This record gives sequence, structure tokens and C-alpha cells, in this order.
Amino acid sequence: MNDPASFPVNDFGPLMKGLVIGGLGIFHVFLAQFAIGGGMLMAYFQWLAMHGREPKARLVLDSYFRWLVLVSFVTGAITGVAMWFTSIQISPATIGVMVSEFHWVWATEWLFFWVEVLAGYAFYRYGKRLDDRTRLALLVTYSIAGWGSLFWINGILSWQLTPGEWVATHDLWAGFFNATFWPSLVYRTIACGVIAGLVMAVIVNTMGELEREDRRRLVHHSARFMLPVVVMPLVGAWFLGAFPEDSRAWVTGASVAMTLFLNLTIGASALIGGYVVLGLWKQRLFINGATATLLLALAFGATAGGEFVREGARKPYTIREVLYSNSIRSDDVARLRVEGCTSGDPYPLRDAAQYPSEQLVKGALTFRNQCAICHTMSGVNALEHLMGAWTLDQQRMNVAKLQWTKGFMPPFAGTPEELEALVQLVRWESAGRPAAWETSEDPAVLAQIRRWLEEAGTGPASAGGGR
Amino acid sequence: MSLSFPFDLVWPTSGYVVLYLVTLLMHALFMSYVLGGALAVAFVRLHGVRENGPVTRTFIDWLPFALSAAITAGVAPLLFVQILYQREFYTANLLSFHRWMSILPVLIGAFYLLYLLKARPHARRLSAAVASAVALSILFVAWSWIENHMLSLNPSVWAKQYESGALAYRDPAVFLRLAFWVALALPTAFWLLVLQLRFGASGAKPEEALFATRRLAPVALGFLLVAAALAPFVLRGTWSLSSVDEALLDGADRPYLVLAAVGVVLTLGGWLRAQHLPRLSGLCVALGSLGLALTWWGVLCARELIRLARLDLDTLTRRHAELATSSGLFVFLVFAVLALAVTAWIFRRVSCALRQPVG
Ligand code: HEM
Repeated sequence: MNDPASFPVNDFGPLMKGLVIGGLGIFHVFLAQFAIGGGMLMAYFQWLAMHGREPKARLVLDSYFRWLVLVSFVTGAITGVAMWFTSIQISPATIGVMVSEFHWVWATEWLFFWVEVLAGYAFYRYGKRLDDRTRLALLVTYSIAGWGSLFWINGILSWQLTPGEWVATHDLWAGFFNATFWPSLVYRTIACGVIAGLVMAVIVNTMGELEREDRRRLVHHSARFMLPVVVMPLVGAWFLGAFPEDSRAWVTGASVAMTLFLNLTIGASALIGGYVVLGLWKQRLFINGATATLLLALAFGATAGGEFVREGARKPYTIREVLYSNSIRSDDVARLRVEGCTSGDPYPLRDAAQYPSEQLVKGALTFRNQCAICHTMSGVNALEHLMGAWTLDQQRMNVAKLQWTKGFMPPFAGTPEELEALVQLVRWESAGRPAAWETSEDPAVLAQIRRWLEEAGTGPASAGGGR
Repeated sequence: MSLSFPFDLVWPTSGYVVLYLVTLLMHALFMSYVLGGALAVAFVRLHGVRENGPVTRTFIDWLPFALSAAITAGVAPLLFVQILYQREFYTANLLSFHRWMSILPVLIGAFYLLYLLKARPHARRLSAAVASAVALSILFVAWSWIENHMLSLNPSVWAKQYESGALAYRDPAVFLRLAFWVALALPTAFWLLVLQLRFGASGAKPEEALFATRRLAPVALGFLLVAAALAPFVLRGTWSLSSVDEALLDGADRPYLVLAAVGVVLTLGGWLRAQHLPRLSGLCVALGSLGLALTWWGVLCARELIRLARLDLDTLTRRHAELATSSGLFVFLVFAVLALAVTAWIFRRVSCALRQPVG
């Protein structure tokens, strides 16, 4: 296992790193779900065409597939690689553990990805020249492969939140088929279908060769495909029920932002579901391009909210019970309290000359290794804003008892000297970076910090020590 | 002379290296098609040659797929490189930061430009500009991978590189290496194209295909020789190894350089025959293709031996042994067989269906 400080840490300026990976993740998940659902929907349309149930099915199918390739194959595949690269940039330790534990699962997922791309391109290139049975065979292969890659990746992502028995046994399959595996898989599968159906409603409105009645019929077929959306509330409840207790508490009130996002997701999904079931399916309403695009945008919003909640609910971990958000292993906290989190860091500060004292340099290194994953100094979620108004002792105590200050934060994993250096850095930044800054090394202060650290212990807030 | 690498490494390192090399070879073939094809199309378009013959046409038609395949095939070695050399690979990625991440938007841009080129192949000015932009983008991506690789092999410069905040790793060897990969990519791309032309994948008439083979042959042969001339500098000598590394390597890479050279000779043979045959014979296809495969295998093995000489093999093998305790290999192997079968089935089913009139 690599030591957390053994990787260089990049500065994302005023942006929170979580926002970067979250933003990209949402985009990628949306496109990937479109690719998977799109394949299934096309297989359904091919079946409709073959059984004479929809005269325009073949025409729409070829047009839809072009979009699927142009948008999803291209941007979806590259954002997939981008997810990997960004994960390395944000937290090499986290992606490192994931790859180390699940490399065969990932390699298996790649096989599915390979088949998906091959079947998809074969259809894209030759589809119009193929007989119906071959077309259907390719579309079904594409869909199974696409859904298969979701199956594999879903196991790894849900393991991050609910690794369950794996923590004790390191049994890969216990980790893979974890408590949130099935609800998450069902939830995402339904989402794939809904996104694909809504894209269909947009695309039929761009096709000049279709009459209004054709469009209404085609959208009605898609609405039928989207019907599983009615069970979304149940699946959502099942998913939430499988969350660890503290994570569930975040999203149901303890964290305003996460609760808000969860409610937005529920609201947006309910609106989409209601419109699909009552309007498009039951009443066979016509839907124009603008409304269809709006619904699709709403689906994007629901995906964004859902992903935000899923990512946020893991806090203070990136891999529950194993690795904290700041890449420090839960087992290492006690050791780092003695050895320090900066002593093993081989990478010097780029801007060391800006700091008027060695203590502030140490503070900056401590910030980089422990806080910078979620905070900036003066940008988004800035320490200056969060801690600036506290008294000096309050700053020291709240950092020493970090996990009790806010339960989504990990315990502080450094020496009292590093903690004091960090506090001094925040004060220096809040004071407008003066040219001179006195070093604070009062043994009584350090002893007090040590006592606070000991009181807080080395476990997370969910361990319950603060109560 | 032993050619047993990577099988002679201890298990499981050997297993991971085999999978890495096999999947990297797949990536290299598609990557060569993209790199060579993009450069060729840009060259033709920039020189105002009104070539809309089979070479440009086929490249333009197939480049989007080839790029997709290069990326898809690249994901597998991307996984295995993280297993094999996690610390080195991640550190190099982190040190290049925005510069490294910028290959992603560049690739997306290149992709859409390729589709634009395919949609508007006859707009001369536009296609010259688009083809050049694509070629530059692909060169940029190749350069980035090379830089990343070189940086990952030089832990001694990491701290300085980080401190300087420089986003590019300045080492003259990077450019020499780029020249080498380009020189190898071009004949590879051309050979793959000749196979396409001669087996009808592009719809070219037999006489057109033969004519194109004759025109491509001298260029391909020239670049093969350039690659062979550059190889000793790139894969040996001070450009890639210090004297310490060279002592550690102890000539282990030599058989692979010889293998690559044999591959080059066979490929030359394939080209020489291809330009005289109205129909490609099995022997000719085998000569050229086997030659290329041997060349690439030799080059990739030599490249890997250098990396292993530079890094601490004991630490690596211990880490790999730890990783191998993770289960899932069996599942992977089962699905690998299935995926191969499905791949073959797709090819068969589509080619059979294309031969039959649609009923
Ligand atoms: C068309 C665009 C691309 C080109 C031209 C290209 C070119 C190259 C080159 C020249 C190398 C060899 C570097 C060296 O040893 O000096 C390489 C290696 C590699 N490429 Fe690509 N590449 C492309 C896209 C990709 C993508 C998108 C991926 C990932 C999905 C990828 C994965 C890899 C991997 C894993 C290696 C081996 C890295 C190592 O061992 O350190 N490539 N590529």
C-alpha cells in the first residue's frame, strides 16, 4: 500500500476537487446510461419492426443509432477514460485500492466494453445492409454487453459505500455483492431506460420525414419502454434502506445540501415518471421537441442529484471503514498522530518562499495532505471562511476533534505540532498574509492539543465517541 | 539467446506483464492506424493532391472507428499498467496534471473532426484544415503518452519536476521517441490499409488496390528503415538508459531487438511481394503481418525490459504477489473466452449477412 503522502498533490485553485470529479462523473454516468438504455430501446424497436407493429421503427432506429454512436460512443468512452484519469488526479490512493482489489472485475468489465463497441460499430456501419435477424442479434448483443459493463462497475462503486463483510474477510465476492449492489443496479437499469426513452422523444422531433401521428406513436412505444419508472420510488426506498445508518442520516436531514439534492432528485424523477405514465402512455399525448428536451434536462438534473447524494453519502470515507476522503487509511491515523503526516512527504511546496516561517510551510503541507481534497484556503468551501471567525482555542479544539466538529470529516491524522501549524496558517491567511508571522510553539498549547486529540480518539464520528 | 520474456518472470508478475503486453499490442496496432492514417491524410490534403483515391478514402472512412478501437483497446493496458506500476504511473500523471488531462478534450475534438472529415470529404480547404488539426491532435496525444512514460521511469526527477510546477517534461529523448513511434506507425498503418484494400473492405477495385500498394510500398519501406535506424538510440544507449541501467539489463533486451529486426526483414519481404502480385497470396499476407507482429512484439518486450531494469523488481514482484490474492481471475478467463467467441461470431455473422441479398 502506498503511503498517502507519497503522491504529489495538485492544487485545483478555487475549485473543490470533489466538484471536479463529481461534475465529470455526472456527465459520464448520464451518457453511459443513455448508451445502455439506448441499446435496449433499439432492440425493442427492431423487434417492433420485425413483427410489423411499427412501420417507422426501422427508420427511427437507424437515425437514433447514429446519435447513440456520435454522442455516447465518442464522448461516453472518452469520459470513461477521463473518470479514470480524474480519479488518479483527485485521489490516487482510492483508485489504487479499487484497482488493486477489483482488477479482475475491471478486466472482465473491459471485455464487455469491447464487445459493446464491436457490436455497436458493426450495427452502425452495416446495419442498413443486414437482414432483420442479424440486426436484432447485434442490438441484443450490444445491449447485453452494455448492461453487463454496468453490472460489473456497479459492484465496485456500491462496494465503496457498503463494503460489508469484505472489510473483515477481504472476500472479493462478499464485497462485490454488497448491501447496495442490487438496489443500485435496478435503480440504474430503470434510469437507463428512462433516459433512452426521453432521448427518443427528442430525436423523433428532429426527423422531418415523420408526420405528427408517427411521432405520437413512436413516443408512445418509448413510453411503454419507460414504464418501469413506476417502481422507482420503491427501488429508491430499498436503496436508501440499504445505506449505512449514518449515511442515511446525512441525506435525510443531517446534511442540508445532501437532503436538498435528494429531494430535488425525488421531485424531478416524480415529475418525469408522472408525465411518462399519465401523459405519454395512458393519454398517448403528443410531445414536441422543446418539452422533450426539457424532460431530458430534468432527467439530467435527477442524475446529477442522485450522483451527488451517492458520492456525498460515503463521507467521511471514500471506501467505507478503510480509506478516509483524504486518502488516509483508518488504520494509519494512530501512527500518523505520532509520526506526522508531513514528514514522509517527498514533494516540496511550490510556493514555499511565500510563507514567512517554517511553521507556516508545515501548515501548508498539513493542509495539502489532510484538507485540500475537500477544502480550499479561500475559494469554494474555504477554511478561511469556515474557521476564520472562530477564536484561537476554538480553532485548535475543533480541528483536534475534527470528526466531532462535523461528522463528514475524518479524524485529524497528524501531530499536535502539525495541527498548530495548520491553525496558524489559517490565521495568517485570514490576516491577509502579512510579511511576518510569529511562530507559536508554547508547550502548554501543544499539550492541550494532544489532550483534545486523545479525547477525540482515532475513529470516525460514527464510532460514537462524541456522544 | 532467450526469448522467454515475460514468461520467465516470477508468477504473478509474468501473468500481469503478458496481459499488459498483449493488450498493449492491440492498442499499438489501432493507434498506429490512427497516427499513420491521420498523418497520411493530412499530408495528402495539405499538398493539394486531388487524391480521393482508395488510400485517402479508406483512411477517412475508417479512422473514426480506428480511434474508437484504439481507445477501447487502450483501456485494458491502462488497467494493467496500474496493477504493474501503480506508483510510477500515477505519479507521472499527477506531475503533468492539466497537460496530461488535456489529452481527453483533444481526443474528443479529434473524434468529431474525423466525423466531419468523413461527412465532407470533398471540401478541399476544409478537409486540409481538418485533417491537419486531427494529425496534430493525435501527435499531441502520442507525445503526451511518451512523456508520461519517460517521466514514470525517472523517479529521481519527480520532486524537482513537482516543485518547478512545469507541466511538460523536457527531455530531448521524448522527441526522438516520438519520431520512432511515428516511423513505426506509418508502415503499420499502411500495411493494415493494404490488407483492407486488397480484401475489399473499402470497396476498392483490384487494379486500384494494386496501384495504391505500389505507391505506398516505397514510403512504408523508407519509414521502416528509419524506425530500424532510430531503434538503437531509443531502446538502448544513453537516450533511454544510464550506464547503471545498462549493467542491470545485461543485454537481456538484445534478443528482442534481433526479433524486431527479423520482423522488419519479413515485413520488407511482404511489401516487396505485395507490389508485384495482382492478388495477395496467403504467403504474402503472412509475411507482412507476421513481420509486423514480430517487430512490435520485439519492440514492446525490449521497452518493458528497460522499465523493469530501471525499477526495483523485488519490490514490484512482492506487490504483485499481494495483489494476486484478490479473486476474480477465473471469472475473467471464462468471460475472455466468451468475448473472443462473441467477437468471432460478430465477424462471421456480419460477413455472412453482407454476402446475402437483403430479403
Ligand atoms: C489515438 C490516440 C493515442 C495515441 C496516438 C497513443 C499513442 C501511444 C504511444 C506512442 C505510446 C507509447 C509511449 C512510449 O512508450 O513512449 C502509448 C502507450 C500507451 N497508451 Fe496510447 N495513445 C493513444 C490513446 C490512448 C488512450 C485513449 C489510452 C487509454 C484508454 C491509451 C493507453 C495507452 C497505454 C496504457 C500505454 C502504455 C503506457 C505505459 O506503459 O506507460 N492510449 N500510446
